[in-house]
Amino acid sequence: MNNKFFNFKKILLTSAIFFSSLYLPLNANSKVLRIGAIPDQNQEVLDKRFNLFSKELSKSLDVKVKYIPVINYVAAVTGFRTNDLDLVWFGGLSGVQARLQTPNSIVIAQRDIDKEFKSIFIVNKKLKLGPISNKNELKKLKNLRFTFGSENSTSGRLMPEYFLNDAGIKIKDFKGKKAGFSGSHDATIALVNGGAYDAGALNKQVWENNLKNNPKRTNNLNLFWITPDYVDYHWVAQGNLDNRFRKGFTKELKSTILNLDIKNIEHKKILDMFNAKKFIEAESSDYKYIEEIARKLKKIR
Amino acid sequence: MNKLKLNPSSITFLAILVCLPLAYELFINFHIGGIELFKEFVISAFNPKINNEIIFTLVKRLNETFLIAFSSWLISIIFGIFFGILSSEIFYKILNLPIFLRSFLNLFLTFIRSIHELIWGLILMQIYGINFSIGIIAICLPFIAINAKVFSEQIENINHKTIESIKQINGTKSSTLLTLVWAPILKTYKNYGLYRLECAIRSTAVLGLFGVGGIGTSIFLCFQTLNFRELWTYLWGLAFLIIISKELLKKFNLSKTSEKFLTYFIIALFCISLFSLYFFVYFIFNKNAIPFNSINNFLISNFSLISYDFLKLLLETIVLCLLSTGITISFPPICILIFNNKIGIKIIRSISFLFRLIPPPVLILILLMFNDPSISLAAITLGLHNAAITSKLLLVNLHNQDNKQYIAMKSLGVSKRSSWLLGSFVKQANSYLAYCAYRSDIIIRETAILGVIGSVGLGWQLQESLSSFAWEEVIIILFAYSSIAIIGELINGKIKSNLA
Repeated sequence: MNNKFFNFKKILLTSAIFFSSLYLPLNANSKVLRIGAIPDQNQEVLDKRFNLFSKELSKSLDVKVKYIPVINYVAAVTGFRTNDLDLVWFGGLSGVQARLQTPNSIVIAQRDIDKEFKSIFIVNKKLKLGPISNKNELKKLKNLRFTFGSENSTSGRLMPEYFLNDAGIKIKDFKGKKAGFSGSHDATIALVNGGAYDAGALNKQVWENNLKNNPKRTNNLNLFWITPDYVDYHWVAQGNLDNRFRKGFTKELKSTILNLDIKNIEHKKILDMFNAKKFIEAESSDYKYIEEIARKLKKIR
Repeated sequence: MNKLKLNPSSITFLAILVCLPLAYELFINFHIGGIELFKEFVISAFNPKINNEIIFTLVKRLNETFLIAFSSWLISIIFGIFFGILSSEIFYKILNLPIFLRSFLNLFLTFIRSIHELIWGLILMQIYGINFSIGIIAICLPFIAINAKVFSEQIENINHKTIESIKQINGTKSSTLLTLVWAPILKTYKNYGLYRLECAIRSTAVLGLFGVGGIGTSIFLCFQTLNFRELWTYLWGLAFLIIISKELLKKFNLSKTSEKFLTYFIIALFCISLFSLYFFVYFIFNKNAIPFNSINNFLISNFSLISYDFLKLLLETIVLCLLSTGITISFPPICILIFNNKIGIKIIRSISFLFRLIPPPVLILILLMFNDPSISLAAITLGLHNAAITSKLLLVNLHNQDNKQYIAMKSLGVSKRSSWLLGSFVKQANSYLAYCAYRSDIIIRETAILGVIGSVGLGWQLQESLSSFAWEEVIIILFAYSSIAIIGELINGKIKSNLA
């Protein structure tokens, strides 16, 4: 029996340690700049990208910077709204949603490539549909099984749906009177390539990456159409950072990001992780167009 | 000709009938376009990505996952017992309380159960923001409700004569109640409670967490970008965690420990849970809740959801649930019946472990490599995942039961399969079916995370409304989920009373 009580003590001790370690994250310092991002890459890339970025910010702003991973677009927008994230790397749509829900928030910057972002439409080769040059020909996709990427993705859902609507195709015109949501750009490629869906739309960057690094995965695919340019990803910050940290903090933050220079080895690592050559100025007005489209498609109500 | 009698065993096997329409639809939708990707997935299983960085991340994530799973398991078992007693009939009989309170509580628990932990997480997050406790509470809420159901059903099984005879002693009401419920609670805890830890670990793995990570986020992100080698590193890590925690728990061989020890153990667990609950409550109320205006919008919203073919989605979800439940019920006993030898059972064990390990969203993506999206495909995904879980429980219970009848029948010359069926399985059929009934609740809420990729059912609409922050729609859909769960419960009750 004694032996058992010894075990019992052990259990109690272990549980106590478990629980005390559980509450460690609760004692977080409020002077920490918490950055977040929509989860659109794999863990390794996200961790590397934002840990490098945090280090750089911490060095030049002289504050503690912590990267807080979130599980989906909704969580990222909510985390920003509830003031748990100070600076977030948003997509076009999620950024607009976050700013509308968080008064006083500020657009900090975007990448050089975000000014002229594009989506592409792909089709399975067995359909024998060649590339089109005019958007009105998107009508050929009627009555096919069609998939978008993630529901909140600007390049995988919002803009493709907008261009489809513009060409006179509603979601109800697809087979099954519905479109699928594969969850990500890579999954869209896989599902259309495999034949589960006939056609799909995704981010042009991801498509080119796959063509280069994973040509096997695109064997059965034809490029159908490339959309016109639109704006996408951007950094959004809370409006109260000057009060929380120091006067002029937001300005310093902005210039740190804009001054990342590809000639500097450390900076180049960061920019490479973002697939960019530099960050450039961005205004909330750049995203007015995205907001209008999102309202039309009821992604913002 | 003998007329087919409905009893737990025949119902278990009759459920296989769902496979007829299912097989037909899967057959006409079959294709092999995704074979290359499937190959890549399988090969990656034997060639996971291993380097210093990923091992470091893996260990960190496993640590977080275990902490979260362990604490949510503890809390949900303790509060599950508490609510289990509160929602059992005996409680109201002994304390002479009005029975409608029980129906009210049961309805409430069904509502809690029917909503997926991921959705609970997102809802709680709207109010309390990103924090660690939200992840744990989100897992605990449906788990407490599930455990409450399991415990209350076991308490309901107490013989009425026992109740009467204990009442005759004229003890205080509370001690009468405790005497009555103690034995079934301990028994359920031994048979079922420990197994819930694996569920908690798996659930944490699917959920990912809000601001902390946990292995779920890593699995989800690798799967999203189709990084199969990395995905398998995390999945094998998770398998390792499940196996290790199971072995550790086996060390506390509960059946050999004294009742007194167990009593102390449970009291200690209860104290710890109370302490943690206090901590959560303190934390949540300490941090000002963020105004959540959407409820007000709900009152003035014009119910635009009707335009979404809402009824069709509802119907699809119900069909999806029925089909998956059919598979969940019938596959394990049929597989065991067919492959009833040592090697066969071993293979069933390993395959079911794999199906438990691979989260349903990953599973459906893999199946989509060979099939077009349809209700049947979503049903087979959910069905296989859940059948893997029920098969584990069935195998464990079969292993633990007394096998005299089976051996006797076999020595009389009855064929091995018939003697297994009539000598072994029959004794388990009732509790197995009861367990599958709990599973059906879980299946209902799992459709919420699966509907999207297969573009079927309410899950699709739920994700769409969530991502548009259209809370009034979310609320309507969650009510629809609960209604399905409640209707399911009523049907279960009816079937059970008919069998009795």
